[in-house]
Amino acid sequence: MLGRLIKHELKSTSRLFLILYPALLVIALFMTFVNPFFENLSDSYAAGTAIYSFVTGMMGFLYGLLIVAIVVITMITIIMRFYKNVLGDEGYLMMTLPVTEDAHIVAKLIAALIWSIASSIVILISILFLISSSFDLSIFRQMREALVEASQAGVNVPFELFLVFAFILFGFISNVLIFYTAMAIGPNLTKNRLLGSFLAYIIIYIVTQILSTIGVVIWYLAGSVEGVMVAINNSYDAYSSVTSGLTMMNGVLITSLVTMLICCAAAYLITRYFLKHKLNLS
Amino acid sequence: MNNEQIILKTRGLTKRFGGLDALNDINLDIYRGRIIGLLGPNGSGKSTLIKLANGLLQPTSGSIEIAGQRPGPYTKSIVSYLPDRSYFDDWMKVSDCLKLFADFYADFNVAKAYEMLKLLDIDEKKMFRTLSKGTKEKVQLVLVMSRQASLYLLDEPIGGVDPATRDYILSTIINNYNEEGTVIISTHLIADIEKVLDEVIFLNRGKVERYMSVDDMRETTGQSVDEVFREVYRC
Amino acid sequence: MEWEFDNKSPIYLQIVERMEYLIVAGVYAPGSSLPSVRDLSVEVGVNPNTMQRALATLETLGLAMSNRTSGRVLTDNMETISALRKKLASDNIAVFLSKMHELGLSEQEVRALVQEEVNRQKLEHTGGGIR
Repeated sequence: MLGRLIKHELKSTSRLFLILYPALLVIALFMTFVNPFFENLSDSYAAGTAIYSFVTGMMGFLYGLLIVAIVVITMITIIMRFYKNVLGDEGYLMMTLPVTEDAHIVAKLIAALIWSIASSIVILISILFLISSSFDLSIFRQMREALVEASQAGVNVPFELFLVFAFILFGFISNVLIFYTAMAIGPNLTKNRLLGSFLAYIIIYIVTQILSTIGVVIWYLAGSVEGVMVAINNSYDAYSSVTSGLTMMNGVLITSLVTMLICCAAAYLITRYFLKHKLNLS
Repeated sequence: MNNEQIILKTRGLTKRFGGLDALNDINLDIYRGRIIGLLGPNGSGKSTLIKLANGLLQPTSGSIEIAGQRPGPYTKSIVSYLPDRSYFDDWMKVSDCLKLFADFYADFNVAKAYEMLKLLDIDEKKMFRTLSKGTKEKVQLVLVMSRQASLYLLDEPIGGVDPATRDYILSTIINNYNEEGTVIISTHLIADIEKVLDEVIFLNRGKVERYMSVDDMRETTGQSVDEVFREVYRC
Repeated sequence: MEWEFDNKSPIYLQIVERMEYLIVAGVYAPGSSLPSVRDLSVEVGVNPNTMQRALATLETLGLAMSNRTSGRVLTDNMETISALRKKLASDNIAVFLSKMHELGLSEQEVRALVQEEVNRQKLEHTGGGIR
């Protein structure tokens, strides 16, 4: 059931992406291969310069526009999909399907993840096209060397990468879930669904900001004393200062991660509760 | 009759919105194999009762059971619901809608749906948004009636359609009849559907005022259900 | 073509009455088998349970029989059909006579008027016009 839901989600939201992704890649390819052609033109003919400037300018503009479009539309699609599909007329169809509220939320979340990752990859690929001419494979070697150096200095590289990855992932999930929660609560606040959703979002945002600030302050107070002590003891040891700096960074990451996980759980449970018990389709 | 034959059961069912009781202490035993009219003036609680039955609303107090279970994924799999509005994404093709039903409802009869669409001369490759309002309603009706469900909930299926479409809808309901399934039709256009109904429920201001067979009502009052209704609910 | 019903009596009774006419008039041939309840109810435009009740009533009246293998068949008993024909005719005549009574006509006037109408229809039937 979940698989079918996800398939349906992707199918229903794919329309714009199937236009924008190819468009971006085509422009990127065009800029990569055709611009040099125009460059030669401008070298050979006087009029060529004008054409060259015009074409490269246009392409550059379109490229930038498409990138912005993809980023914005990814976000809008994720939000609008939940809004229309759960609170709008489509809700009459969706919420009478023989699936649990959990399945609905998870399916939309996974679809949101998929589109975000896809958009990121497409944008990345287009950038790679553009810099492919001036691209130097040595950059990968340099990155690898830096990572090796770091692990020799006592840094647990896989762990750090995992932390960063989890941080990004759950940051994304909590952002999306908060939107869902706001939309699930919204219609219960005011007669106007849209207004209620906005209101709910603002309230939730304020609450999460307050909570996370308190969390950071607590951690900072708890950790800073120890951190200062450690720093004093190890101030002449180069490696130790790296690790203590790292410890601080890890602390921040882990605290934020924990906060986000709590946030995700809360948002998920609240969303599910409201979808199950407080759903009120017009 | 044994309890297996009761498809919809409510006990003390109450739903409150704000300070208002949309439904108040509803007690119903509805058996399988009936076609029932849910009749009442606007605001009587018809829509609320239907939404409680298909799980779109939760009771404030009391209980409602479909085939002995509270509304949830299982009951949704045996209830076929036709709301009074278009509920498909405009950009879906008719064939996509069919695929959706086939994916999620084990009791969906694809062949039957295609046959009905063909009879109605509806092109399955068309996008929902290109269809006229009447055609959209027909598509939704075809999908809902192509399921072999235990309970069909039709909310105002014949309001705002032309007579030919109305006849088609009623004829489809009759044709689709089976002893295991019950059809509940919520409407205020009684005269048109009376001969299709077994029983009627009069709902007013959240309370069941009458629940009897059409034959009984005619025999005891010498009038049609429509006439009785007009009398009882004269403004 | 769907049947029309009035608002006075239960629909199943009205179906029975209509079918009695159709049987007596021979539109439904004696001994012919009836379509299934479902097909009949779609044709007539009524609830299948209503149609079932009507057919069961016909059985009670001896106008139809349930055959385990081939569904329902109408009676081929000509005596039963004659009796029904007589009954329906008598009912109609009773109504007619009471209407004539309301109009204030005497028995002789009624007979005379009936004969006039019979003659007129005979003429019409055999071509009418100049004889």
